[in-house]
Amino acid sequence: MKHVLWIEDEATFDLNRLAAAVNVTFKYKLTIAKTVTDAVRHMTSGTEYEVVVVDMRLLPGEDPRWKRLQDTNDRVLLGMELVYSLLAAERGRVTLDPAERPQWLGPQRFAIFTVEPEKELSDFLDVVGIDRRFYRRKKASLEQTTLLDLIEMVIAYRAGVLNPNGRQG
Amino acid sequence: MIPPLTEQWAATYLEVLAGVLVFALGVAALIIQLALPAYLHTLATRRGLWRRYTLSVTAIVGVVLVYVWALHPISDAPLTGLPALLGHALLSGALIAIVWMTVGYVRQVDSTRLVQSLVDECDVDLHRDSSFDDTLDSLIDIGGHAKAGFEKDRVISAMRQLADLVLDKYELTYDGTTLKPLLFGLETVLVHGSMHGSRENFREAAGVIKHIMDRLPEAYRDSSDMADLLSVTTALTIVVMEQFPMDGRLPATYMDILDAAPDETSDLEMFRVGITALNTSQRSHYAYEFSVRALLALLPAEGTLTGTEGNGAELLGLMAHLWFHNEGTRQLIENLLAVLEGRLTASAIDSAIGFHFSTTNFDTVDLLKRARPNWEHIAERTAL
Repeated sequence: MKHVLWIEDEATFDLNRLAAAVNVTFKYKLTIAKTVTDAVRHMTSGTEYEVVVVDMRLLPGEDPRWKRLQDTNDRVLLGMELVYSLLAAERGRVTLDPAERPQWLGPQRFAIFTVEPEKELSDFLDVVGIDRRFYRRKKASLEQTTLLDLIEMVIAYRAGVLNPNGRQG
Repeated sequence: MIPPLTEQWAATYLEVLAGVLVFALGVAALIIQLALPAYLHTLATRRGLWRRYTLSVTAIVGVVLVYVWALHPISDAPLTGLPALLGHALLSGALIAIVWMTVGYVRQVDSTRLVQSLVDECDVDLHRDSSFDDTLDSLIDIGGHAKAGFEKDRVISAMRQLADLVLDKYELTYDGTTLKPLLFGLETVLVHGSMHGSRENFREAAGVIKHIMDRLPEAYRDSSDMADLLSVTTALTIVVMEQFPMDGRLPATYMDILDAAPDETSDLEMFRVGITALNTSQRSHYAYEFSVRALLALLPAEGTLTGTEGNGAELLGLMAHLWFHNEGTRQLIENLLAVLEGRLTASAIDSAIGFHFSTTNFDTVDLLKRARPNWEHIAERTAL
């Protein structure tokens, strides 16, 4: 089974049906991180994640570096800061140890799933190099398979079976 | 002036003395009984607070009586002047002192102060022995007997404080086992005391467990404390599923902790979580979601399933329960069997049957035996 990391504080609450749709396929081992601290811990646990789906609004968790960042700026988007620190360290406001940035990390494994509109994230997406096709906006009426589709799309793209229109085949 | 001591006078006087003492202590005891829960009074007695209180009250009554003895009029004539004034002042003062001491005792035994004093004593124990002593048992006793809600929360918060003490102040002497009594104590406070915890208490406890997990130093990620933490979390997951079946968030919170753990939960415990979730399916909208999460947690990453403990026995057991639960869950297992293509063998099913027999899960043995022909058929179809 391919490992997928979903960094989302509401993953097992309000958005649990999206996780369930992934789980019942038994194709992916979906790990959920509810805070930035948990996310970094999972990424450095030795597991190589095929896809990392990130929400922009995250809680810091116990790591004082993320806590401090939130304390000094309550409007900071910790998900965005995490991705900056992982993929564009020069823009990151939290400096990660080299051990906290595993070898397998790369923008082609990332997808963004958040309430922020795409235009507000365009600079960010450009800087970190995440393809805009792997951005999904959270809204009230989400398809049950939104997360599953996003995961499969990233995997298909990396396997080279996704055409430029974002369709498989 | 000392009154002349006659046998009759002394007998009368001693009778009065005994009456006054019994009255003073009796009224105080009645107030305490009404104002304090019995377990707190018992705890205070054990910790010597009650003895200190009774000795003090007895001493005050004694002083008053000695004064009265000394000034007792020889004739029937009443006392006048300064001695009478002093007598009034002493009697009133004694009464005020007894009331003040009773209130003080009640406040001292009030669980907030008692809990804080126990935390302080635990700090001393940790400083002296690098481990918890009987003082922690007293705190756990209070928590177990405390009413659900605010009273239990107070103890749970104190336990969080103690965990922080171990991991911060006494970090250098921490050896990966110190938190054991605290972790199991948390379970006692919520489940094994005379009062069960409320939904909010379980939520608070989940926060404490996650806090401890996050704070455990990197070197102790696979320590005995981490194993105990997972064991307690699993036990509480099962309890919340059974106790609050309509609440999807609470079991999810506990399962999230198990998922976030750097070490893996024991497969047998995860099997129990899955079975419990399934058993609550009539009462809970979330039961199947938790069963699927348990199933995924039991799925070994790669390699052939041997059906032995920790490598498929528990997974196959849970699959058997789901297979016979309803059509939907059977469809789910069919999907899983397709994913397991090439990894499941007949001997693995036999091993799993043997495992569940030896652990007295006879229902699971029965279900596995009944499912085997179907599974073998599906396995053959998917190229086994």
